[in-house]
Amino acid sequence: MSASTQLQRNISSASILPALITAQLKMTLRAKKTIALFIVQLIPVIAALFYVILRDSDGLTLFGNIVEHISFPFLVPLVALFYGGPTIVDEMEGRTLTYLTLRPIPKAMIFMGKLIAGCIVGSALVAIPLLLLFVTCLVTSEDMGAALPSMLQMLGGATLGIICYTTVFATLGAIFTKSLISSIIYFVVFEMVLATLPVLELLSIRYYLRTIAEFNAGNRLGLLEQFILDKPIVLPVWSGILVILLVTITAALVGSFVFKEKQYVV
Amino acid sequence: MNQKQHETQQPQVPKIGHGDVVISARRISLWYGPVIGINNISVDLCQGVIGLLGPNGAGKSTLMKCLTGQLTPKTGTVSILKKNIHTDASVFMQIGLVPEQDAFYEDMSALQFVTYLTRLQGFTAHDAEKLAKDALGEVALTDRQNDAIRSFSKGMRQRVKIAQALAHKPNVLFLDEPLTGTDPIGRRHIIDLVKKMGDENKTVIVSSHVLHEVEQMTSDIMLINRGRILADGNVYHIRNMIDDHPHSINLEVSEPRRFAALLAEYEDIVSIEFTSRGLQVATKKPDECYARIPALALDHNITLHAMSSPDNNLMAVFKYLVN
Repeated sequence: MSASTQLQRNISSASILPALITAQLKMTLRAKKTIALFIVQLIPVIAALFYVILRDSDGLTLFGNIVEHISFPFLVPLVALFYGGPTIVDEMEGRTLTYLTLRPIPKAMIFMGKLIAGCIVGSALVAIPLLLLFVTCLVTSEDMGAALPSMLQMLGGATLGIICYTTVFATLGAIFTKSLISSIIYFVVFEMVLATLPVLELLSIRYYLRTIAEFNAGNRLGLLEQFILDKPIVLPVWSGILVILLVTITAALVGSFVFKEKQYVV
Repeated sequence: MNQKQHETQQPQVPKIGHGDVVISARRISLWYGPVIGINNISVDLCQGVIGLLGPNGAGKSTLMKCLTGQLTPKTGTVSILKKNIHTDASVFMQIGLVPEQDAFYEDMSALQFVTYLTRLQGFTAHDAEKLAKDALGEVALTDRQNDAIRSFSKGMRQRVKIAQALAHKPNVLFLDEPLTGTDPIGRRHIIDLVKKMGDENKTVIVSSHVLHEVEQMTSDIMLINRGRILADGNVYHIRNMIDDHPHSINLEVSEPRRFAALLAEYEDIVSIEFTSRGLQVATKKPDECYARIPALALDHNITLHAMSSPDNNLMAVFKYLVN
């Protein structure tokens, strides 16, 4: 009897998935893009620090402005772009996908394992600088007690946003086998163009992140919107969370299915 | 049509290797747009080392990918150890693949790489590391197991690929062009390893377009070209298939012209060509001709220095069948 048959083998999800995620985390953390993206994420923190030192500013307002105008529209999708899109495409382009698909594990598990690892790293990359920003702003907040829930709400929105965007980009990568192009096209169309148009903004992820963070809806009411609506569409926070979770779960299921069924010629 | 008639009209499925059928492919075809990758291949592969031969673009890699489940054929089915390769992932517990592409997680060490992939075979982290160390020892990489793969030579990288395929002790091993880029010592090592696995009654499929490489590992071969099986079985059996056709024999003799004249008297001799070292004779009856040549040389006092047949080499068989 060979050595491997004497040793116990367990190919259940509970056994394999942690191994897959751990290895992916190690690889991702070692990647140069992680360091570069972390530095980019720190830029608003440094800017905020100067702003707090040099000017008399309300912490909550400062934090809200940065999250609303920098994190949600740019920094969160940027991180997701680099961790979601390449989930499968990197393995394909690096031609290492063969090694993974020849293991006795469902292909969907491979997709999910890599996606979860991407979400963890992405979330950390966004959350750590935001926490630093949060602390920076908190000390200058006029009413710390009142500011804390709002700040946590924004932080939660950013974290949900990174998970949602990463999943959507990973699915697009699995479908089109082009990590950046498909994700960038999606981002420009849905998150930059449609997100600014009345009613159609409901098709963007950013709208629901703003809903979760309870940003002032009046801020996004554009000239065009005023011709159509008297007031901007405002949904309750829970509906924002629900939509983001639904989009994330749907995208993850679609991505897993596509990865299972699609023929990737390596 | 009755059952018996139907059975007699079924084309016989080639069976290669010895022992039980391990890999069974039935009517598998795959095409890339208008280009045919493999065309209606049915074959049973058994135990031992089996060479999959064909020129570049013949369909070897496509067939390998279909047999290992990396590609799903448009038609037909593949089963390994009676499990459908495309629907039952557990079959991969018994399969190892050395892919053709030179692909790695470059920042990992050889040990990390093999351990990771073995871990995904369902072993605990501890067992996976132990198996990985054993496999790296098998390919003589123990000394360098902690070095990053990016620092490895082509031959060493090839051996890492083999180690990851061997670590979980599979019963079925696929090697796609395994000797590419290896040095003579590494080559010898891999050949010995493949032969050893064959001796252990494992099924080892080795694809190559370099015929003499495969010839050193096995005499059980499958020749494919343009996505179809051209010939299969033992190389000597394949040679018998072409024995009705002119068979070449190279001769090194002391008096080539006189010996050529003597041979020309026989009806089975199709052609005689003079070469730099003697002459090459083409005969329709190789067995008779092999017996005749030494006797003829002895009778006429002509020294026969060497007699060999290029047709015993796979290259000759291959060229003949392809053409």
